[in-house]
Amino acid sequence: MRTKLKRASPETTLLRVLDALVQEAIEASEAEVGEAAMDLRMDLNSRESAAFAGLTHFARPQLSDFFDVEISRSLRASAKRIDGKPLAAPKDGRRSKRLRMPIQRKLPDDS
Amino acid sequence: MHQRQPLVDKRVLRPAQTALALEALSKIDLLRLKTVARIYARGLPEGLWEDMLQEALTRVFAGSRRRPEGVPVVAFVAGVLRSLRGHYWRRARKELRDDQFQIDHESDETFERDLIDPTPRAERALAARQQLALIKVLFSDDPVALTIIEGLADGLAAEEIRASMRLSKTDYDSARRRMRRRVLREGLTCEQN
Repeated sequence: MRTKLKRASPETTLLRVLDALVQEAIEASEAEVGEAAMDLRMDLNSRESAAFAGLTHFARPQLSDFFDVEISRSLRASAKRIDGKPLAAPKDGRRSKRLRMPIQRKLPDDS
Repeated sequence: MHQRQPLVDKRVLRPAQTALALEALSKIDLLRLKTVARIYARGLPEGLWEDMLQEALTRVFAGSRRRPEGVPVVAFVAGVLRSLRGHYWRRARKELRDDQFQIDHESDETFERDLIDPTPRAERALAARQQLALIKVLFSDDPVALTIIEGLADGLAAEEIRASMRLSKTDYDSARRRMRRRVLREGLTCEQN
């Protein structure tokens, strides 16, 4: 047994644990995966099972599930405009209405 | 007049569906890989594991990653996911950092922004510690599993963990089975980890 341990960085430590957990997942037998799914009441025979969310179908509903590709693309573009993120700069270099307003500096009172 | 439908299938198959159709992977293999992707995506924004997994499968099927002979597909894809993890992590952090200091001139609303440490090392170390703490919470009701996790974190081998804990092989193996079950249950859901 080792007598000295070198202190590893938290990232290395985490990766060691993740690798070990991944190894468990890889080595899991078919029965163990099936049992885990049964515990979660997932039906592996159903194509729409939640177990396959993120695999054969998206984990979250997508716009394209409900709309045509073109419509969902335009909806996504308009959603981007209202989700609080800044808009891309206008191509013609115009400033926004608010920024086009003249800046009036308040001059100190002479009195 | 009867109009013949064009013989064009406009459906876009996801890489995981392709893998199933080509019988390159079984349903159970895909579930194992889902668990693997969710483990490696810990700390990344919610739902990114899905992109990571589909990208890993695409790389394997497109041939940009060649599988050496004798290596099982699941283990190989898991390796690809491991290497993608760092890439996704850097990208997510970069986007987060770019977003932090953007000034929205179009909106009068003020947003609460968290200031983050500009040095990536400290930030990543903190994120890693947080994730490790979350993993420990996952096994909090199993003291043996917790000690095994600590041993693994220290880089100890199975025999070393058993020797330090004075565990029999049977006890150690049953603790690892419990851990495996917990990991699979956690991996099959789509809740944020």
